[in-house]
Amino acid sequence: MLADAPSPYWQMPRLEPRARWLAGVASAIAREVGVDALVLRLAFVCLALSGGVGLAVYAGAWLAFTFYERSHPGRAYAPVAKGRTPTRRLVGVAAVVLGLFALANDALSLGVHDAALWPVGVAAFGMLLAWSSGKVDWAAPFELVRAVGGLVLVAGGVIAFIALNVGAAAAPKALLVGTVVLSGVVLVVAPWVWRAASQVSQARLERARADERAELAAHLHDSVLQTLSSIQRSAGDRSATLKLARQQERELRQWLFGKKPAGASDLRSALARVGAEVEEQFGVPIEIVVVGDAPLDERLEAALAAAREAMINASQHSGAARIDVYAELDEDSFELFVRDTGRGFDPRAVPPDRHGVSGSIVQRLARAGGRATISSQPDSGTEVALSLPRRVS
Amino acid sequence: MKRRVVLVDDHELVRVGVRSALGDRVEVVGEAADVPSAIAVIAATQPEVVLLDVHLPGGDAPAVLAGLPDTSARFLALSVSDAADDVIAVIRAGARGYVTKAISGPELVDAIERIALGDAVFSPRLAGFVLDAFAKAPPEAPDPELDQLTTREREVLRLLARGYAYKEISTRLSISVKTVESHASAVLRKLQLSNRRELSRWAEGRRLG
Repeated sequence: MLADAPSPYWQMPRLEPRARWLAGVASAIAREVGVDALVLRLAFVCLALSGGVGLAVYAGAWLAFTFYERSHPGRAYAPVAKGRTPTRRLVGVAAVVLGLFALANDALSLGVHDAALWPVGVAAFGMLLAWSSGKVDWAAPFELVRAVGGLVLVAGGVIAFIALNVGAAAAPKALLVGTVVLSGVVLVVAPWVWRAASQVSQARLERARADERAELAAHLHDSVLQTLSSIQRSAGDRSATLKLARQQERELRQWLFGKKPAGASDLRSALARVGAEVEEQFGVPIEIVVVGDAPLDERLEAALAAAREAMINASQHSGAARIDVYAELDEDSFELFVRDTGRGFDPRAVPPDRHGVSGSIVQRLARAGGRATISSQPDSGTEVALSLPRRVS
Repeated sequence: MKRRVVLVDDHELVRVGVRSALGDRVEVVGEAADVPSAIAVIAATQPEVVLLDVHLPGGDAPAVLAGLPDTSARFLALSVSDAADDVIAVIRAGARGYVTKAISGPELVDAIERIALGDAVFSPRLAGFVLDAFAKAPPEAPDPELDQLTTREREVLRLLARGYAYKEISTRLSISVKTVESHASAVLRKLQLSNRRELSRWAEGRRLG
């Protein structure tokens, strides 16, 4: 996912190198909360001066937040979001929590002994550990250990906190009361939370569907609707209409069934592209059937260029309603046939200076180490056969 | 005598187009636009040949074939879809041939006649699919009779893929048209009955013809 893509989840604030005084913590929080960064900076300074709590919070936040790095120092500023490692993030968050608590303890005189603070830290750390395991996948033992370990730490922290503040004797009772209250709250709140969560995911699903529909509509508008209106305008011109319809059909087919991006360099798609170009130019449908496939090399490209010439000849001169192209490729050889059932010609009657057939088909194949045969009879069509060994012996 | 034909396609324009391409050389006894009505029309009219679109509302072409286990009608798939898995699915469901909608009127009439006589009809594209699917000898052939093509069958298919008609093939290979037909039928049978795992894997891997 892109760093700046809006996400339905809350994300760690980001430290941006451009907008910072020190490490950018204040401006990152400011961006997230919507407060002026200057106010936060002053607050940090005051807190740092009064007992160092501000420093702890600042350092913790710096550890926890996502930071940016320049991807290419030489080029334009293009930051790449880099997450901290989970452990550093946890330590950072724990430091922030602990610092804030220490602050509240001092400021509001909550009366918690300083010795009782470390269980709170342990509990907070356990909580983060449990949360950070993300989705609890029971199949992944490490995640399970993390979740359970986190819960154990939380429980231990809470018990230690009670024992240190209330006294060891009262601890079991306090724990019981706490558990009962907590269970009550969970029972009341859980269905509501669950419903809210399912509504959120429902909304997300609907938005994804709407996006998909919008993309489909946009594509149909740009392609099919445009073509249909062009066809209406040129309805009198039969060949123009046919050409537009074929072109659109091919494009839509590619979009619906195709996987390969345009410009793929294997034989199958290259041949389809050549056929489409010739078909567009002359308006005679070309049916292409390919068996086997391989990446293009220099010699296959030569054969492809010869095939293109044969398709053009058939389109221009045969008068056939359709041209069949069949290509077969395996490790040893490549064969390609361009066939029409048009008017044909007498090969012996072609003057030797006719460049088309001899130069661009026969000689081209010969240079690549292959052979081209042209067989034709008046009134029974023409077939150009190209054959090319794959390995030069 | 004219062949009795049913047209099944969910696009009325396509049915009109096919009807006019056929002209009066066949008798169109019924039309249908979806799977249930196709089954009803074919059961009621008992045509000799059904021209069947591959994609239909209410299930695809194989559902029509599955809904008519006892019919004497023979099926010819006629589709714009060049997706290999669609084509292979309809052939394996029992269709006797596959042609694309690029086919000309006279060629289609010829294909209908051939199907009515119980022959197989291979468009160049279908022939190419079969050659591609059977290209490599399977590493373990459970049934070599069904899982491999003979040299002669391969020759016939290659000529079909190059766009030759049965008659031209018989001339080129110096065999009778009847023999060409029986090779084509044998290939169709292998295509329908072979359990080659490659066949389905190949069809899935090749979404575009």
